[in-house]
Amino acid sequence: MDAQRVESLIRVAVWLVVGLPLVVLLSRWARRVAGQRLTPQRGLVAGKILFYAGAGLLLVSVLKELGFQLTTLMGTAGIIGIAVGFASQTSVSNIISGWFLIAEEPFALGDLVTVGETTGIVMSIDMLSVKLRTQDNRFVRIPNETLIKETLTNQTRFPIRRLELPVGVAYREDLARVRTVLLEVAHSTPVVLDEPEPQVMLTALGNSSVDLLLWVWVTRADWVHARSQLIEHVKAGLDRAGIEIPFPHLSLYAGSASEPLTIRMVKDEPAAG
Amino acid sequence: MSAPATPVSMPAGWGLWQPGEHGPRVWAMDDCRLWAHRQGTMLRLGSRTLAGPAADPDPESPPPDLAWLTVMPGGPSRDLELRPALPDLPLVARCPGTLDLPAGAELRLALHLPLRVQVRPAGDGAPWLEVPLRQLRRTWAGTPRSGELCYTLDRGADPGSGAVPARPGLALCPVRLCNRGDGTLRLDRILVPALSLSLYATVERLCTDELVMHLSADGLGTQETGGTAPAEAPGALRVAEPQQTLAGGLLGRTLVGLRDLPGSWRPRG
Repeated sequence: MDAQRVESLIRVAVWLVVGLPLVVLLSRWARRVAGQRLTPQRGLVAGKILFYAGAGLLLVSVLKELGFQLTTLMGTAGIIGIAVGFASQTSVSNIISGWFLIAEEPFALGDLVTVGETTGIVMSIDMLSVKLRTQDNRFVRIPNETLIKETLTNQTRFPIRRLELPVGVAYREDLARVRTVLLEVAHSTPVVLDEPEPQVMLTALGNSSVDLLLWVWVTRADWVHARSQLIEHVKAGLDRAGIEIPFPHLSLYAGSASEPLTIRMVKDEPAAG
Repeated sequence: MSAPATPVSMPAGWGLWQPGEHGPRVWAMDDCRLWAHRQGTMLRLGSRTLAGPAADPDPESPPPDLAWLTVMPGGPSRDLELRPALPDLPLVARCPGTLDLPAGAELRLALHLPLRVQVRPAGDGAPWLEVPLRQLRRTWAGTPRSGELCYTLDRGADPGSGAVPARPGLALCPVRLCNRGDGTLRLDRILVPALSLSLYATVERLCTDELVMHLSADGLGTQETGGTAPAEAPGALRVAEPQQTLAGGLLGRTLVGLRDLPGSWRPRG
């Protein structure tokens, strides 16, 4: 091995030993600084951009040092790229979708999102996919392309949310009184915010009940347990006020519409045989 | 919050207090009940904030389901130190009716801010344990897209503050509203940045520094705190520093947030 070749190999080793850790350190620094000054998600993106750009430069420098003709290499890469491109359409689509997601920023790290039937907290936003942790602690990987195509709901984008609780009361109840009781219950439930003010809406005259909807606002942090707490308080409040929450009623008529069915008790007979 | 200077005098109930030696002893103020029992070198503490004054059948006996906290005092003193503290969130107070503030006019209101009690063994460097003196309801100041979590003040603002009587467990907060705009401002709520206020004490009452709000016609404005005891409590000593400073970036933030509340100080016409 001639001296020039040895010198070249030493330079490559220096590139790799010094350059690679430097790129990793720089990307971590960018992630931390951008994460602190902007958002954790932008920090993640800045770190990744710096890492891939640095690694690419390092690769080009090493190949050049090893004597590869980059022009030829690019030409070969172009031909291979077309072949690989056909074979990896999905991956490319995911990468491009990932860039759209970063630009649009429909969610950030730590947000609770729903995609299709899956709801979970965003753990990471990567080149090909987004990783979620569901509330029952499952790991879900969603391809970026799916996130672009499907309807995505960000449950925690805004600081407060409205909670809607359907309540049914018996037809005989005084609706003004029911409204008063429900509003009192809302005001005495700790997680419910005073403003925006709770509201009671009459939604339907149902088959078995007069249907109402109690609207209250809670912080996004309280969202998960607010419904349970509110249901408990509404049930207790209506019980205290003597307001009936009816179960479904069904009236059966036969023959004459005004004559109800006659119910007659029949003595139990032991089964024959 | 930095440790305040020990005041020479505070209203009754605050300061040093001796826990029970042979059984729990109760400290009561407003809706707060604090039971303390010294057992050898250990100290057992339990607290409860009642739903209202009526829900207190036997204040001397701790409820059977009370959660007790056991601490090992580090200092030689056998007393507990109890000091007042302002709430940990801003407060929203309703004005008496709807207030119309003409251009160039000033108005002084008196608010009574609910307090928390901070407790720890006297002479001990341990962190303070905090108990609210009354249950506070939370509210939102701003829009559904952005804003600030606050507490609701049960009592509205009293016009004027010259003869406002001292109330146990409440700190008087004088608020001066100055309309610097060209039109009349209609106000129905005031957002008090409780975290930016200092707390002062005399033997008669607790109070905060005066809060001055300069409002302009578009509902924007700036606010500043007096930095000294208000005129209602001359010679009062500062017992608690602000929990956060009213920095330049925060000036007017509260007022901007309030502008989005329905019916809040919008210019007339």
